[in-house]
Amino acid sequence: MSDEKKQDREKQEESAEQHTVTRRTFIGTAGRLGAILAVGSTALSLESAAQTSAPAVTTAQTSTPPPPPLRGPVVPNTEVMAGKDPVMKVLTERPLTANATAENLNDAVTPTNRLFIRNNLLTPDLQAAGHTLTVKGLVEKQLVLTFEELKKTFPAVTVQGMLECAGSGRTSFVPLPKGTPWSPTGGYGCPKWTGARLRDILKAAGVKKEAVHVAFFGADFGELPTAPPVVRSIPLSKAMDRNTLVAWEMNGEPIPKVHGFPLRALVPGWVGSASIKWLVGIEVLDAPFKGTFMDDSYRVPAHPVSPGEKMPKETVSTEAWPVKSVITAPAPGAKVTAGSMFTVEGKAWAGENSIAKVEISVDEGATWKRAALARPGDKYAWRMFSLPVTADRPGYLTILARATDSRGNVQPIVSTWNPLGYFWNGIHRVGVIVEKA
Amino acid sequence: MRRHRVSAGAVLLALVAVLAASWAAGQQQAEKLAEGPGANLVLAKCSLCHELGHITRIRQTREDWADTVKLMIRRGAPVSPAEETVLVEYLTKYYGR
Repeated sequence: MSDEKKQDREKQEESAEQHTVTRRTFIGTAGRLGAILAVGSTALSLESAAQTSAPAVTTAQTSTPPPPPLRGPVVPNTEVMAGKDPVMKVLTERPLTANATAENLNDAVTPTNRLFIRNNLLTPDLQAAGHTLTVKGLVEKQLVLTFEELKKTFPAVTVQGMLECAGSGRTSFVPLPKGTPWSPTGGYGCPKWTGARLRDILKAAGVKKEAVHVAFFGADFGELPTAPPVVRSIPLSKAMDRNTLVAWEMNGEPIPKVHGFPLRALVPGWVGSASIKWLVGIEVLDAPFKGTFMDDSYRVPAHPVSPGEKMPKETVSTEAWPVKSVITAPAPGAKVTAGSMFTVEGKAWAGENSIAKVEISVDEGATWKRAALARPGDKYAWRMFSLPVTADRPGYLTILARATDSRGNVQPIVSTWNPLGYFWNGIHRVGVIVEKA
Repeated sequence: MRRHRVSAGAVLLALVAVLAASWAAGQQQAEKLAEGPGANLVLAKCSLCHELGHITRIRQTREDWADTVKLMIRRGAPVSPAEETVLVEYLTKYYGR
């Protein structure tokens, strides 16, 4: 545990160091940006809040969350779902959540119309024209960039990366914790994202040495004007990762409204809530952001508790997903023929780590066979696996998949129960019917 | 021929009626709270932002319901201290564990 902490600190220091060096190389970019720096923006409520509550120059720690964004037009759920594949199941309407399950997520790249939906509030109907992104807090220069300026100023990169809700697979937990009732294999996807590297934006603003966390502010609003805004922060080291983006495209198209149009954060491999949608603000802080979406949600007990027990005092924030795999083919209940070969296919991913191996068992875990892994793609993309299997007798056959990551972490049989039902990564089990030849 | 057309129309009407009834029943089932003191308050307050499935699908201890209600207040629910007590009582009694 202390080793891990030490490593984290080292990683952070290393990244801060790296950052100081590269900041110099970015003076050019910052200079170019000088022309588009703005002193203030009355359009942004987060902006005016910071100006009235604290001079952002001395301390960036936002102790009281900004007022919620003003309510604007809303995209109705019916319109959102009309753009989705019928295989997607709506789990809750208010807020809107929906998922497709593993057998319908067999594409190498998750199609836009099958990516899960997880709103905290309503779907704001934002426009790209006039949309701005403010970068403030512990930075040398505050930036206010329009959507077009952002796209013009920073090099665009495309990465395939995992987006997975912290509660993905929640309904596998017993007893069922509160929260979105994600299907056992729903609540994740791996599309391709295009946008600017967050670190390029931060370097252009000039991150001060006291920086520890970077907060993202969403423009979404709730039914009630009293609903607090959705704000989450991530450690500076992750913000400086080359795969952490401010994205404007998903699978080569503008991000759909429900997925954060026109701008969203993309923190691949981490709990989905870190990837704030409808991004309007970035604030560099000297500590994690204090707010209900940091302190009340997305936390797990520091030490495991009995199933059903309440959240203990000592908790930790959820960050990277642990190693996980799902079987995408055959589908549950599919028919195969005794004596004939069929292929077990699936996807495996491991948060900050990479996949070392995936094993398949067709005898309830008594014996395991190594599946073939497809060539690795982008760092935070899932890895596809496959294994030809022959069912030697008719009847019912169960298939299990178990992934191991590069650090030797293996998927558990059952994930550790926690009060908010996060990080389900238990071994996936699919039953098929074997018919006589 | 004419008789045939009428009966097809009737079948269609009946089908629509059955579908509508079953849809309504489904909605009602999903949205229905256990009857009891506090049910109306739950309906009035929680329904401002959520469908009732968020409540009816889970079972929680009194402590957890109390925490849940407090969390919703932090997230903007207009609930007075007196109402908070009623909500927790109701939720614990009918959706307790």
